[in-house]
Amino acid sequence: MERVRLFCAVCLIMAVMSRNGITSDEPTDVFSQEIGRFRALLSSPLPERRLEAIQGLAYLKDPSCEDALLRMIADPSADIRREATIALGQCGSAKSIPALIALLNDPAWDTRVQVHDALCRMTAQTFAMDDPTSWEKWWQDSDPAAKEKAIIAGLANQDVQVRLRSLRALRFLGGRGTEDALLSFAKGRGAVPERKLILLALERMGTEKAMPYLVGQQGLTESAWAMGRIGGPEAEQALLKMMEGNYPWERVDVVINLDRIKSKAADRAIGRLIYWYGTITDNHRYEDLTLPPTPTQRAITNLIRRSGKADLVIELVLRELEGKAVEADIPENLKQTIEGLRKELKPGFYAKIHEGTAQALSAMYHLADDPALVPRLMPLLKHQTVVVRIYVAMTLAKLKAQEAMPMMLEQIREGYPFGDHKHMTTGLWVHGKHRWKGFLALAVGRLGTEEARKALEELAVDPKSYRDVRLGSVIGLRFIGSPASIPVLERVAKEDIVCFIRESAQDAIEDVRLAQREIEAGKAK
Amino acid sequence: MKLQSLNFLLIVLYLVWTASVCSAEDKPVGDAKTLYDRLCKTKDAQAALKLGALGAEGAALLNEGLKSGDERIAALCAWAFYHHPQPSAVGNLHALLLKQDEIALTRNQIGGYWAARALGKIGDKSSIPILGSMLSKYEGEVAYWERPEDKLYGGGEANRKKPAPDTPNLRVAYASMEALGEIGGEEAAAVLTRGFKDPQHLIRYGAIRGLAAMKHEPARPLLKDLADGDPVLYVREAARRALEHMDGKNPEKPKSPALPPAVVFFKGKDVPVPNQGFRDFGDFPSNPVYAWGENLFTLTPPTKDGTLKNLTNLAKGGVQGPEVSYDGKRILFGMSRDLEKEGFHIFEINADGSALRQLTDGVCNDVDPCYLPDGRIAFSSDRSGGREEYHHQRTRNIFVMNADGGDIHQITFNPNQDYEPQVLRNGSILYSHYQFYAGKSALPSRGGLGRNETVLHTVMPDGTNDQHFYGTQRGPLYTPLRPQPDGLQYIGANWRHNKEHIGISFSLPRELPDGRIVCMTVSGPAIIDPARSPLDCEIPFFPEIVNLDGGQFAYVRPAPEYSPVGRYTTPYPAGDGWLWISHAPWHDVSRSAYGLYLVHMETRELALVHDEPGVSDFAPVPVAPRPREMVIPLRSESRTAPTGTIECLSVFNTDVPFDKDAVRYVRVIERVRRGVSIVSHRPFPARVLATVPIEKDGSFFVEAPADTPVQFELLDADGNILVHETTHNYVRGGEHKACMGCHEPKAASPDAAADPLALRHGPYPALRKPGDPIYKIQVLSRGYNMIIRP
Repeated sequence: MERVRLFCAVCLIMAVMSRNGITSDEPTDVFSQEIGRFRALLSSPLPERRLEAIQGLAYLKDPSCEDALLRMIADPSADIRREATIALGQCGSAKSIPALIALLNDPAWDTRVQVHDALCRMTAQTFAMDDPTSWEKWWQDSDPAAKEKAIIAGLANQDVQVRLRSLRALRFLGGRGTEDALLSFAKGRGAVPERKLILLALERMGTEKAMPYLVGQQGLTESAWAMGRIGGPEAEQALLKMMEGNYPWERVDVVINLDRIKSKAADRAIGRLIYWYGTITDNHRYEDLTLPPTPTQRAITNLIRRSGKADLVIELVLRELEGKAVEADIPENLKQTIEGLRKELKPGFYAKIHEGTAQALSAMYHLADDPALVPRLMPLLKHQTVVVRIYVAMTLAKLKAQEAMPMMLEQIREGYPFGDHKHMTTGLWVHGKHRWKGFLALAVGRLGTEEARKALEELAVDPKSYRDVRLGSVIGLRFIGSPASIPVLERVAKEDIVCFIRESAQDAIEDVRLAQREIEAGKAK
Repeated sequence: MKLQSLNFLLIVLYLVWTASVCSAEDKPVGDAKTLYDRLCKTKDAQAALKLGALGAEGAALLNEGLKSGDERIAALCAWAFYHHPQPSAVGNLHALLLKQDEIALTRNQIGGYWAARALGKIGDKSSIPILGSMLSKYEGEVAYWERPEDKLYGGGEANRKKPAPDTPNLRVAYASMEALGEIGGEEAAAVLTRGFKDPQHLIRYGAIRGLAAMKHEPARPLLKDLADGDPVLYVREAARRALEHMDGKNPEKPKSPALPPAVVFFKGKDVPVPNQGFRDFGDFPSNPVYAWGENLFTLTPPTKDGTLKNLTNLAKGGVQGPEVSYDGKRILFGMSRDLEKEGFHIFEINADGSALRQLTDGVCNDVDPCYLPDGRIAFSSDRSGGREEYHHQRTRNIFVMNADGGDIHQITFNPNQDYEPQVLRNGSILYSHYQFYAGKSALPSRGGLGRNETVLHTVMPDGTNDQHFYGTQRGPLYTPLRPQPDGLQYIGANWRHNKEHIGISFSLPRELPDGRIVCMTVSGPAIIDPARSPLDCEIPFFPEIVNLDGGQFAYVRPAPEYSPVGRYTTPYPAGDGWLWISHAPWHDVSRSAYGLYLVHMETRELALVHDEPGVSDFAPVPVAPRPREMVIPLRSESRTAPTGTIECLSVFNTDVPFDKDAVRYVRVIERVRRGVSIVSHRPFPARVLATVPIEKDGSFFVEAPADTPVQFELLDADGNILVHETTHNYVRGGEHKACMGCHEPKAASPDAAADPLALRHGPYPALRKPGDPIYKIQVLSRGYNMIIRP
C-alpha cells in the first residue's frame, strides 16, 4: 500500500514537473519590466507619475534611458527638472553634459545645486556652481576622446581623491580605451572605494574581457550589477555562487541580476530563494502585504518558475497544510524549507520572536497563479494556524476567488475574545492578544470587487470593528481604488479616533484621486 | 501660624529614620531558634533584626546564617550585624566579603555589600586590609565586575565575558570605602586616599564619603582637588559636601518640610513598578501597563495617623497618574473602571471625592494627565495608532484637550512612545520619550545597535520645538565598570560585552523649585541640572546602585534582588530639599512592598508617612495650591500647515568621529510608521525624502512634511553613509526648527555672527513624492517599491 501511494505521489510530482517543463512563457525579467514601466510613466501627463519614473530610473542607473531623461530637464516643473538632473547624474553620458551646463542657470536653486553635483561627478572637474563659463569653456576646449584620455591619466595621480574623481567620471565619459585602462589600473588595487568605482564603470563599458576581474569581486554588490549587464554562463555561475554565500539578508543584487540574465539554474539554491521571500512573521513584515510584491520577490518568482519547480513548491506546501505530506516526495533541497513550515503549523500560532520559518507560505502566495488551486485553498481559510489563514486568504484574493469572501468576512466579524482597548497585541512571546484579522481585510481588498468594496466600507466605519480591522479595511479600499469609496474614506479621515487610521484614509483618498486625475488626463490627451 | 505649628508637631511625631528600624520596638519575640528558623524559611528581615537585638544568643545564630551558603540569608544576617554590631561576627563577615559569587565568580554582591558595611560598624582594625583588597588593582581587562543578569534572564553564556577570578565587585568595593571611613585611623585613611585616584567614579565617591566620615584633615587638599576638578558632577558634589562637613557647616539633621493638607496617591497589590522607563516589557503584567493601582486615595493629613479616603471605590478597575489642579481643589487622573471591559480614560474629581467627571472616552487608552497653565489638559494616549519599533506595542504620544475634554489633538509625533507630560515653569512640557534604535548605529562601521532608551524631551504646548532635554549619551555614567571616556555610547563600542540592548531610562520627571529636575533613572532617583553641560549635570541619589545588574536588563526591568538600598519611584518635590516618594526596602522584593515616604535629597534621610502591609502605595502628590506656570501663546498654523523647515547650522558640530572632509550630502529619511503587526523586533521601513548637498560650512536647510518622524544621514560623494542619526525629529506645520548640534547645553545660543550658507537660499524640498524609494529597514536594505541600487 505504501509503495502504491509512493508511486502515485511520484507520478503526480512528475506530472507537475512536466507541466512546468513545457511552459513556454518565459517571464520577462524584473529589471526590464521596471525599465519599461518607468519609461511609460515618463510620458504620463501627471507630474507625480513622471517624478516616480525619474526616481526609479535614477536608481536603476541604466544609461539606455538617457535620451528620455534629457527631455525631462526642460519640464516646466522645477521638481521634475531637479529629479531629472539627479537621474542624469547616474544614467547620463557625455551627451548630457552640455544640457546640464546650461541648467547651471536654472532659476531653482535646488536644481542648480544638483546640476553642479552631477557635473562634478560626471567630469572629474571642480568648477564652481556659479561659474558656468568655466564649465562651458572646459567642455568646448577638447573633444570627448581627449577628455577620456585626460581622465584616464588621472588614474596615475598620487592623490587618491584625484584618482577617485577620475574613476567616477570614467563611468560617464569613458570610451573605447576605458575598459583596458580600468582593468590595467585594477590590478593589485585593494581599496574598496576604488574597486567599487571600477566596477560601476565596467558595468557601463565592460565586456567578457572584464569577467575574470568581476568574478574576483564577488564580495562587492557592484560586481553583480556588472555581471547582470554583461551576462553569459560565466556570469550566471558567479551569481549562483554569490547566492550560496552566508548572508543574513537577501542579496537583491544577485537575485535581480540572475533574473536579468534569465537563469534557469536557480533550483540549486531554491531553499535560499524561498527563504528570501520572507514572511510577515519574519523579517519581511506587514508591509509585504500592504504593498505590491517587491522587485526582489518578483525576481525570485521568475527564477523559481524558470527553474521549473514552481508547481512542485506549491504542491508540497499545500500537502503540508492539508496534513497529507509524503516525506519521500520532498526533494533534498526543499527539506529545510518544508521543515521550517512544519514547525509553525501549530494551533493558534502567530510568530516566534526573532525568527519566522514559514517562508514557504509566502512562496505559495507569490507563485500561485492557477485558479484550479482555489478548491484546495478554501478549507485552509480555517486552518488551525493563524499565519496560514492570512497567506491562504491573500493567495485566494490573488486568484480572484470571490467565493472566499464570505468566509473571510465571517472571521473578521467574529472579532476577538478581548476588548479593543487591550494594549498588548504583538507577536512578543509573552502576550496572547494578537490582532491579525486586519490582514484578512487586506485580502478582501485584493479581491477588488464591488462586494468587497462595500464590505470594507462597512467595516471601516463600524464602531464595533477593532482598530486593526478598520486600518486593514482602509488599506483594502486603497487597493480597490474606487472613487465611490471617497465619502466613506473622508468620514474615516475625519472621525476615526485613531490618528494613524485617519492618516491612512487620507492617503487612500489621495491615491484614488491621483488615479482619477490620471484617467481624466489620459482622456483629455 | 497655627497650621505651621501643627505641621511641625506632626513632623516631629512621624519622622522615623531608617536607623530606627532596629530601635527599641524591635524587642525579641519568641526564642532565638524560632526566629532563626523563620529567617531561614521565609527570609524575614525582621527576624534577622530581632536576632541581632538578642545579643550574643542571636549573634551565634546570625553567625550560622553568615555561613549558611544561602546568599539572601547571609546578606540578611550581615545586615542585622550592621544594625547590631558584634565582634564575634568579624571572621564570618570577612569570609562573606571574600566569597565568590557562584554566577560571576566574583565577590557576591548583596552579601558582600552588607558584610562590608557591618565590618565598618564593628570597627575592628583587622578588617582594614581585607576591605582594602576590594580596590581593583587594574590588572587585566576588567577593573570591577558585578553580578550579571544571566541568572535572572537566562542570557546566553556566549554573550558574556566572565571576569577574571577575584575581580572586585563594584558595589562591595564601594561599601568597603564607606566601612573604612567608619573604622577610621591612618591605615584606613591610606587606603581611602588610594581610592581617590580610582578611575571608577563610584569608588572615588565612596572614598570621599569614607574620609569625610572620619574627618581626615590631611585629605583636605585632595578633597579640594576633587571638588574642583573631578570630571563627574556627583563626585565633585560629594567632595564639596565632605569639605563642608569637615568645616562643620552641614547640619546633622535637615529642616523638616512643610506638609500640605493632604496627599493623593494610588494603592495596589502586586503592582508593577511605576516607570522604569520602557514599561511595557514582558516582565510586567501584560495589559494595559500604565503603572496603575486599584484605587485612588487621599491621606489627610499626610501622616501616619492621617485619614485615608478611597476616592474611586473600584472593584475591578485601575487608576494611575494623579495630578492636582493649581488651586489644589481638583484631581486629574487616568482610570479604567473595569480593566476587562474598557481602556483608561482621563477623569477629574474634586479633592473631597465629589463630582467625578469623565473627560475622554472611546476605544483607546488615555493616561498621565496634567493641567496646562492655559486651562487645557495634556495627556498621553495610544490613540495615535502606530506600533513602536521594538515589541510593536501601541505607540503613545502626547495629546492636549480643553478642560472639558473637547478638541483633543496630538502634539508629539515620536513613532515609539511619549508619556508623563509635566509643565515646566517656562511653560514648555517636559515628558518621557522612548526610542528604539534598531540596527541603526550612528557609525555604520560599528554595525547594528539595537538599543532602547527612554530620555526626557521638551515640547511647546502646541507641539512646536520638540527637542531632546536630557538623557542621551548618559550611558557611560551607568556602565562604569571599566575606565572609559564619556560619550562612547553612540558608537555602540565598549558599552557592554555584547554591545546590544543597552539603553538608559529617565522618566517620571518633576521640576524642583530651583529649576533642577528630579526624575527616575535605572538606579533610582536622580537630580538633573539643565543649566550644566548635558554630559555632566546629573546627581544620582544612590550612586552605589548605578549600573545595577550588569547594565543591560536593568534598563528594561528593575532588579530589586541586587539593590542594597531598596527601590524608589514616583518622586514629587516636597520643599526644603525633601521629596515625596514611594519606597520599598531592599529586603522586601515583592511588588506590594512600597510605602509612602519623605526623603531628603542630600542626606538621604527617610521618613515613613504611610505603608499598608501587603499593598503598594504610589505616586504621592500634595493636594495643595501651587503656582501656575507661564502660558505660551499657541501657533494656529501648527495644526494646518502641511510642512515646516529644519535648519542645521553645521553638521560638523558633533563629537561623533567621522571623516568630516568626506561629507557631501545629507539624506532625509522618513520612518514609515506601522499600524498592524503580529511580530516584534522589526524596525520601521525608511522612505527617502531627499538627498541634499551640504554647504561647505556644513549647513543645510530643508522643508519637511509636518508631524512626520524624520532622520538624517550624512553621505560621502558616492552615497556611502558616514553617520546615521539614531533619533527621530519632526516639525509641526509652519514651524522653523534650527539645530546647532547635538550636545550643547540647553542655554547655549548660536554664534550671532554665523551666516550659514544654506540660509542664503530657500529650503531644499524633502517632501513625499509618489515613487520615493521605501527601504525595508535602513537605506541600502531591500527596497519595497522599486529596485534600489547602492
